Amino acid sequence: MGQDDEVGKGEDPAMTSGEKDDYQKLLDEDVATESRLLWSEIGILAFITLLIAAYLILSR
Amino acid sequence: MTDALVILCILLAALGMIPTLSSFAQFLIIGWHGVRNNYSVCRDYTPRVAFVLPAWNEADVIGSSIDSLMSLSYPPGAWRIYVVDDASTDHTPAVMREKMAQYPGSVFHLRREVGGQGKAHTLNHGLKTILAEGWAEAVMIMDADVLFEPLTLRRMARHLADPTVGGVTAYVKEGSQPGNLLTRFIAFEYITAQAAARRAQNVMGVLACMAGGAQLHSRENLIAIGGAIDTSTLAEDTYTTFKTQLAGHRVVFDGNAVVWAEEPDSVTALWKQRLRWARGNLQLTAAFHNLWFRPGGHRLGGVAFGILWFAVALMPAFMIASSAGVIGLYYLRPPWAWAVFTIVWSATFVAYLFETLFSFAIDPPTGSRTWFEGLVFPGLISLGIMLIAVSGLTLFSGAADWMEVGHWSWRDIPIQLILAWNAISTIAAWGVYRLDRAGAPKWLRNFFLVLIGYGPLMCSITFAAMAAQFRNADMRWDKTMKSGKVKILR
Repeated sequence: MGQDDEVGKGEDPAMTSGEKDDYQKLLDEDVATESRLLWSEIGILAFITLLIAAYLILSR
Repeated sequence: MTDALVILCILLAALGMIPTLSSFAQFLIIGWHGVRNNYSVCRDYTPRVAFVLPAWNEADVIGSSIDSLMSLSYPPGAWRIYVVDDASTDHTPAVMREKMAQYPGSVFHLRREVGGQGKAHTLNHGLKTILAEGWAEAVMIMDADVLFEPLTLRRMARHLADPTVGGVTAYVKEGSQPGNLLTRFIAFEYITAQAAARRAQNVMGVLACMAGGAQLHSRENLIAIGGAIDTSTLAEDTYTTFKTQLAGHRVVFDGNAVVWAEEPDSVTALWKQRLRWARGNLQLTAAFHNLWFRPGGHRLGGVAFGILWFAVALMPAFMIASSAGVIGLYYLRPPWAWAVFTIVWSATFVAYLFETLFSFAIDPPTGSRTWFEGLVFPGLISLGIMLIAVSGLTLFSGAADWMEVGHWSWRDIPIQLILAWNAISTIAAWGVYRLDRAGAPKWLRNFFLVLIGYGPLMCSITFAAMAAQFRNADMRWDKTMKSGKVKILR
């Protein structure tokens, strides 16, 4: 199958260094997505809390 | 005596809230994934990966799956595709000959001459060859129809840089084109059940299931779990997930690693697929009976995970308990029935609102495609009941008057239907399945599906699975037929 020596565990600098920036960009993008989800959740929870508060005040 | 029964009814109603509350709690911790995730220990890691595609009569889809896999963004020569042909009787072998010629040295055809034993047996045939060859440092177990986005493997493989991680799974999105109401319901369901729930489980440090459509295992992990997939249950992917974690490895869900799959486009086909999954979960519940609710040991035995697991595996029991509790109160102490009903359905409404809005935010492209299905996921009737509870409408106005013990009137019928809707919807959803199976027009099926809800349909399937397990019905591997209409949507 003959390809065994061409690839490895990503530790060979010759194979990965050229793509290092791409990888970091990918990682940064994904970390930013997770961060966005945290802020989305906080926003939605705040919105629902406001709705519940308004409901409780108006239904008195 | 009456007081004891009243307390029992309240307890039953509270028990019925477990699925709603556990799902809500799970959604609450998703945001924490922004802080606590596995990315901090990831690095640019590109092990040699062998893809294993079990295939039985997949001629319509296997070619496009291989083409999609061959266009991955990954170091050249670092991945191979092994199609394990489970004695296909269609032209799968011919497609494979063509693909092997097109991608020499990268695509392999392993054929079983006697097949039909199910996916796990087929996978094991491939795993045996791959592990014996010794080339692969990691193995991707997947379905034949699944399409990978170019960077998905790269995103998944980076987690294996951490030697404590044994398995990684991706976010499987529904990608049928053209889709229909049902496939869009499934697409929305996958936001909640995968993109949302599995992020929460990452935070908890324990995963219920690595999707069978995209499971990346380290070679060490596969060897640690015996080098083969369990063949005794109908949920081989979940079984493998449990075995991996019990063998001391972590499993990780990467919500940014996306694959696309074609899901059933009829209620009948969906019922068949999900019945298999639900029965598999029940088999697993029994197989790991020594694991549940044993805090202090493995995280799979933790109380929080146990509640999440049983809330899904025994969903209909909770729905029936809820309805029985409220109806019991209706006869024993009517004003309390109204109070409990209001609390239960108002809490359900808050959970629905939060989970639906957050699901749209988790996956905006899918959310914008499935906004209608997301909104009507519980069914229009359930939504109406939530609004009755929240608005405090005394629909049954003069509530104190109509609820009088020992005085029955016709008005009691609709009231009881509403109070017991959690359980009734399970039966009504079964009716939608029968309607579809009887060949009713799609518009009629869709009308009732929207009215009764996709959520109750899932509950109904779980109930059917419980009944099938109880009567020890045959375990048939009912394969979901794929037509090759899945596309990667941007």
